[in-house]
Parts: sequence; C-alpha cells; structure tokens
Amino acid sequence: MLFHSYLFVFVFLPVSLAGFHAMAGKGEGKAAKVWLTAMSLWFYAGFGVQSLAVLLGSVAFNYAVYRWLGRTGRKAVFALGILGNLGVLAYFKYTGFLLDNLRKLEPLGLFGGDGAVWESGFQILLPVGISFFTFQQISFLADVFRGEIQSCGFWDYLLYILYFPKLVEGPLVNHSELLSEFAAVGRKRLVGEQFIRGIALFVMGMLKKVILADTFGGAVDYGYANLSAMHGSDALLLAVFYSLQLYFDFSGYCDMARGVGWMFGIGLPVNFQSPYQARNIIDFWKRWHMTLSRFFTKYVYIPLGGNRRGKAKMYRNLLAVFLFSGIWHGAGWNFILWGMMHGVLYAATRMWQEGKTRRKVWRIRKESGEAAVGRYEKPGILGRAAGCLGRGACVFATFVYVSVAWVYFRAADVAQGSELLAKLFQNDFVRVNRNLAGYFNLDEFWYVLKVLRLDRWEFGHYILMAVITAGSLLLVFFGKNAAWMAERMKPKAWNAALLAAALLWCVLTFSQVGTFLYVNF
Amino acid sequence: MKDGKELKRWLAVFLTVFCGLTAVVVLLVVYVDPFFQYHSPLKDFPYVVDHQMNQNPGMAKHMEYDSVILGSSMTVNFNTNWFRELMGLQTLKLSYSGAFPKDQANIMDILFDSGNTVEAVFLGIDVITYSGGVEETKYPVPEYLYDDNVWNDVPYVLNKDVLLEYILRPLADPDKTDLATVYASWWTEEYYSKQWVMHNYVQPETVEEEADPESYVENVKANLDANICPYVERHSETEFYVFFPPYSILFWNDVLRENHLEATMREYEYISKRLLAYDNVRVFFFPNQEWIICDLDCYADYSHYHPDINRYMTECFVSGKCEVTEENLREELGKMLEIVENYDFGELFSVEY
Repeated sequence: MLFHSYLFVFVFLPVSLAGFHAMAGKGEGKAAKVWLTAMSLWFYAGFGVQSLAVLLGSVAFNYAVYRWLGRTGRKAVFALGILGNLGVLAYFKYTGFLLDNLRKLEPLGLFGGDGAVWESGFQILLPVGISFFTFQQISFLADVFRGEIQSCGFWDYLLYILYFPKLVEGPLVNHSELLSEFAAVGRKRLVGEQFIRGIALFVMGMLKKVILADTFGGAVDYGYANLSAMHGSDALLLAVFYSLQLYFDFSGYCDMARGVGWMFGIGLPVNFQSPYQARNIIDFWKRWHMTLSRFFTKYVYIPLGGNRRGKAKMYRNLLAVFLFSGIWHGAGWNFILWGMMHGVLYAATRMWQEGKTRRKVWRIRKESGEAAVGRYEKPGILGRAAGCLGRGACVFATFVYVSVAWVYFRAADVAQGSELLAKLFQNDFVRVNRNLAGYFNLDEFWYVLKVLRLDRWEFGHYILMAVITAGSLLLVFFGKNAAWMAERMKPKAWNAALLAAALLWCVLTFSQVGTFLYVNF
Repeated sequence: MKDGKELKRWLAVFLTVFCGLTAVVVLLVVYVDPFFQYHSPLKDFPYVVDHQMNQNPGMAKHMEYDSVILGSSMTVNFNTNWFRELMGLQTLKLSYSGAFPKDQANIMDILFDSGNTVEAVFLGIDVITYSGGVEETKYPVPEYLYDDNVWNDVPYVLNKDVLLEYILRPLADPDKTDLATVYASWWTEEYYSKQWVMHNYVQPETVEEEADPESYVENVKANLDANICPYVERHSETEFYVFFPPYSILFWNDVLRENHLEATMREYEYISKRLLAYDNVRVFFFPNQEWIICDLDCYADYSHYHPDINRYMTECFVSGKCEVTEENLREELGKMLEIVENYDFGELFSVEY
C-alpha cells in the first residue's frame, strides 16, 4: 500500500489511528502495539503475498539468530546472521546483475559449456523495501553482538521491523530510537499538538511527492525515453528536473512517514535537512538520507578502521563506504559509478579540508595571535559579502556535481547516462523540447493562463515549466524544511483550511501518480 | 502550541473543510456524471466524449439506443445519423481503437445488460487481433467503470481529470461532442492521399519462412468461443452485422513480406464460417473491394480509410452488397487472393513519394 492511495487516506490511516489510540488511551499498550503490528502487515501485504512471505521469513530468521546470539554471544552465530541477511539481499537484488555480467564474460570461454545457463533470463521478484528491512535487521544483530541491546521481546522486535511508516523506504531507525518510543505506548497520553503537526507534515510531504515530484517525473521519464530527440538545453533541464524529482519524492515520503509517526505519537528520525543547501559533498551527506549515512558510518566505516589507522586507510574506507552505498542503491554499473563519483569527491574534499585546517592553525600560530584570530572571526562588510558569494558558489557547485552524478543514478545504464551528459557539450541550447514542457502544463493552472490570456502567447506553453522549476529551485536553495514549518506552525483556522484543501488536491491527483522512486531500493 | 481547545478547533476545521470539499467534488461528479456511470446525460450540459475506455461503458449503461457499432478504429468514422437515415435505427458508437476481442466482450456484457432492446450490432472484425490472447485487451481496463459496484468508484468521483477536463473545462469553454460523429479520426481531407500514405509507409522486414496456414486458428477459435459466439448465441433476437474492413493493398504487402498470406486467408475463412453458422449473423466482406483497396487516395495510412468508405459500408448493410454466405465465401476469398497475387507492387514502390 502506498501513502498516496485512496485506501490509505480514507480507510487505512483513520482505522489504524482510531484503533491504536482507543487502546493506547486506555493504557492497553501491548494491545495497541499488536494492533499496529497487524495494521503494518496489512500495509505491506498490499505489495503482494510473495513479498510478505519474504519479509516474514526474514524477520523469523533474524529473531531466531538474535535469541541464539543472546544465549551464546558467539561470533560464528553473528556471522551466520550477517551472511544470511546479505545472502537474501544478494539473491533477490543482485542475481540478475551477476548473471548479466557473467554472460558478458562468456565469449572469453572462461566457463566452458555452451553458456545456456546464462541465457535463461532470470526473473526474480524484488520484495518491496528489502534493502531497508534487511539493513535494519543487520544493524540490530550488530548491536546485540556488541552488547548494546540487552533484551527485546518478540512483539517489540516484530513491530520494530514492521512499523509501517518506515517499512518500505526508511528512515533506517536504530533500535534505541524506536524501542523507547514503543515502551511509552499506553503510558503517555496522546499529545494533540504532535497529532496536528503530524497532519501538517503528512500533507506537506504529500504535496512534495504528488504535485512536485510527479510533475518533474513525467518530464524526466519522457526525456530519458526519447533521449535521441533531446538537445543540449533539454539535457540540462533533464538533469535539473531529476535532481528535484528525486529530492521531492524521497524527502516527501520521509515527511509523510514522520507525519504519520507523529500522529501515532511515535517519532522517526530526520532523514533530510535541506540537502541542496549543502556547501560541499561532505555537508551534502550530512543532509541527504542521513540515516543511511549514519548506518554506513557505524556499521561499515568504523568497523573498517575509520580514521584510526592513518590517512591512507581512512580514504580507502571512505571510498569503500561509497562503493557499498552505490551497490546498495541498485544492481548496475551505473550505481557503482554514481557511488564512486561521490566517494572520490568526498575523499578529495576531506583531504582539502584537513589541509586547510592545518594551514589555518599554522598561520594563526605564526602570526601569533590575537589580532589574527580576531581578523578571521569578524570580517568586514566586503569580507562578509565575499563570504556570502563564496558560500553561494559552493552550494551551486555542489548542486551541479550532485546533479551530474544523479544522471547516472537515473539512467538505465552507464552508456545512457553518458549519452545525456554528452549532449550538454553539443552547444545546442536554443530550443526546449515542446513535449518536455508539456508535462508541466497541469490542468489546474490552465484556467489561470486562460484568465491572464497567456494561453495563446508564443511562449505560453513554456510558462509553467519555467515557473514550477524556478519556484522549486528557490524552495530547495532557500526554503525551510517541511518539518521545520510543521513544528513552528501556529494552529489557525486558515492554515487548517489550506492544508485540508491541499490534501484534497493531492487526493484528486492520486489516479495519475507513480510509485515512490526509493521503493525498490 | 497551547491549549487543547485550540487544537481541537484546528482539527475540526481541517476535517470539516476536507470532508466538505470532498463531498462537494463527489456530488458534482455524480450530478454531472461525465462518464455516464450513474444516469443518462443532463439535457443542457456540454459533455465532452473523447475517451473510449472510460466513457464507453457508461454510455452503454445509460444511453438510449437500439443498435450499436463495435470495433476498432476502423469504425470511428461511421456517422450514426446514416443508420437512422438508411435503417431507421438509433445507433450508439462504442469503438475501441486497436480493440481486441476481449474489449468487445467487455462492452457487450454491459450493453446487453443495459435494459435497451438491442436490435442490431454492427461488429467490425480485425483478423490480426483475433490471433491474440483471449484475455488480452488493448489497454488496461479501468474495472471500476465496467462493474456495478459503486464502492470502488473512488478513482472516478475523486479524480482531477474528471473534475477539470470533463466538468469545469466544458463549462468554461463549451464544445459539446456530437455523438453521431464521436471518436472520428483527426485526419482532415488533405491527409487522404496516396502521396501522404506512401510517404509515411514503412515496409516490414521480409520473413523467409512461411507461416503454417493453420497457425492462427487455435487462438482465433479460442477468441470466438470466449468473446464473440456466446453473445451471438445468447441474443438470438439481435441481428449481428459482422464485417471485415477494407484495408489498403499496403496491408497485403505487409502480409506478403511477413509471409503469412495463407494463414491470414485461413483466418478470414474460419471466422466467416463459424459466424455464418448462426441465423442471426450476417457477414460482410469488404477487403476484396478492389476499387477501394487499390486506390490509396481513399486512405490516410496503410489501413485507415476515408469516411466515404464508411458511408458505402453502411449502404451495403442495407442493400446486402458485399455480403457473403456459405455458398459464395470461397469465391470471395478467391477474389481477394487474386487481387493480392496480381497487384503490381513493383510499380507502386518504384516511385519516390
């Protein structure tokens, strides 16, 4: 089931909230959690019985390993758990990729035989959200092995994994974050303020997904499907459109998930913090999919040695993290390339930052002093203006680099990504594909253009594309987060009415909306 | 944020506005009903009818008619006024571009259940679609518009396109669809020319191995058994005018290059024979009308003909011209084969268009 579906908005969410609060309000915490678990199973069953079977099998396996590990504490049991999880993930997500590559090696005669095995066209169902629930369970086993988790009952574990707001697209939640929230169910009263802020955040997230992400998505799908007909200007727009689509899609989902969580009184961690306002790639990864960065830091980077074994190994570890990140995001060389583009710049930025820090410390020491320190801390007007411009340039450069990398993330393969980027250098920026612009001409704005008599203007067809794109860029570069706005919203009748109308706008658009982009990761 | 009263008021406003606006939209859609799911059309509303998949089922349910036109894009240029003029029938056009037999079955389920007395069904048959799967439809079917369950109609009553494109836009910019010519193709007169057709025609790759003459029969039989014959049998009071449209000679060029001439002829023969076995079926065979199919000025592409040809076909339904029976079927198929075998394709393709 998707958040942006009639069933979710009109049936699932009201029923699950009513049942949960009816029980939790009477102090029946356990019953409320069982109810939430049952509703989560219904939520996931909407993706198919086969996916549900894989999820339940994975949960049963991991809980059994956890109990075994809790009794014995043996490394071999922990290794079994990790390998089991990675094996399941590899089977469902990477078998096709592996066979494709083996097929390509076949002409070298490395395998002997007639190669018929590789021709079979392996089709494996990819359970929705498998990467998320697998990683979550890996982190749980790792924390048990480290002794960070003393005990966890079956129902708490089940709900920790199945809790529907974060089940299919994250955020990746630590056991300590969620289990403490579950422990309070039935003991604390529903906080009305948190509930209505949850509604506000849910609606804002839905607007990002349904209205913005899918509008950009239509143009992006068209552009990639007709790449040969695109010109330089179209390629440039496609790169920008996809950056915006992906951000609004994924962060919109996370806003909805957090909003729903607030309605239940169960918070989820922040996953996005205005990532396109980042000044460099390191800053970007502190703002984009923050819980995944946290996961990789804790469970990959630090176990590999982090920065404790010298600079060279630190850079190696950083590259390894981004290699894993690329592989996690998708089974394809384009994802690996995307991961390495981030990894290389991340390592280079880290190197540059460390060098800068060393130089700064050295200079301050050399100039001995107070005056020098004061000059750095309090620049004049010109200095501030220059700093502002410099920060703007850094933000812009980071966005450009990230957008170029997203091209490979979106492309079907490396060749398609390179084809799009090559068009940027063809110096054909005079025209914009009319069909591409057509995806922005939403029916609801037709009336506005009609009233303003702009519908018959020579460039009338392109107005909405320009307005929506410019507005979205302003939003991502200068705007506040949806969560920030929800947290500070004053409860007035006008904003209640506005959000209600916005929700209806989204509901009316449901029949045209696509699935979430991150749902298959 | 502070006291509980304020929060309750906020929630009350939110829920009232959301539920209120939702109710307004639902009531508006149900009242106007642009897809005709709940009632017959309002007298003065400028309905736009341009979506076969979404609007045909409602039209079949709630409009008044005594005959229908079913078929693919080969039927969209029929003018239903001709049927009134020539046969005294009140005909409703329910075409589906690229329709498969299952599409016909879906709409026949509805129209025979509508309460209208259906005197005649004019059913165009495209042989190529009868060799497909029994459950295959050209486009995904919006089931909620094809069943009687109002509880699954949410995607219809809460739909931005329905509200804006089919209710508000017609009100702001009225251009009521004339049901007599509904779904008519967009090609204007200048497109019906040999020059245009040949300029856009791309010959398919040639196939070396000839198709087995019986290769299509199994699927054709399954389609007739499941999607056509049951309706013919159950509605003996209805006259079925089954017709094979006259594709241009370029269609036959495709058939020759793809090496399935005999198999295609066998399809025509098999379908005709099966349907001629019923007393309430009349079969009209237009593909061998040489004066039509060899004159590419009658076409806008390799298969779609000018509305004048639709008019001619309507006149044939009245006069009985081009009708085939069990007696003359083989002869008519023979004529078809003769046209294809004797046509000078070399000359046609010797010119640059």
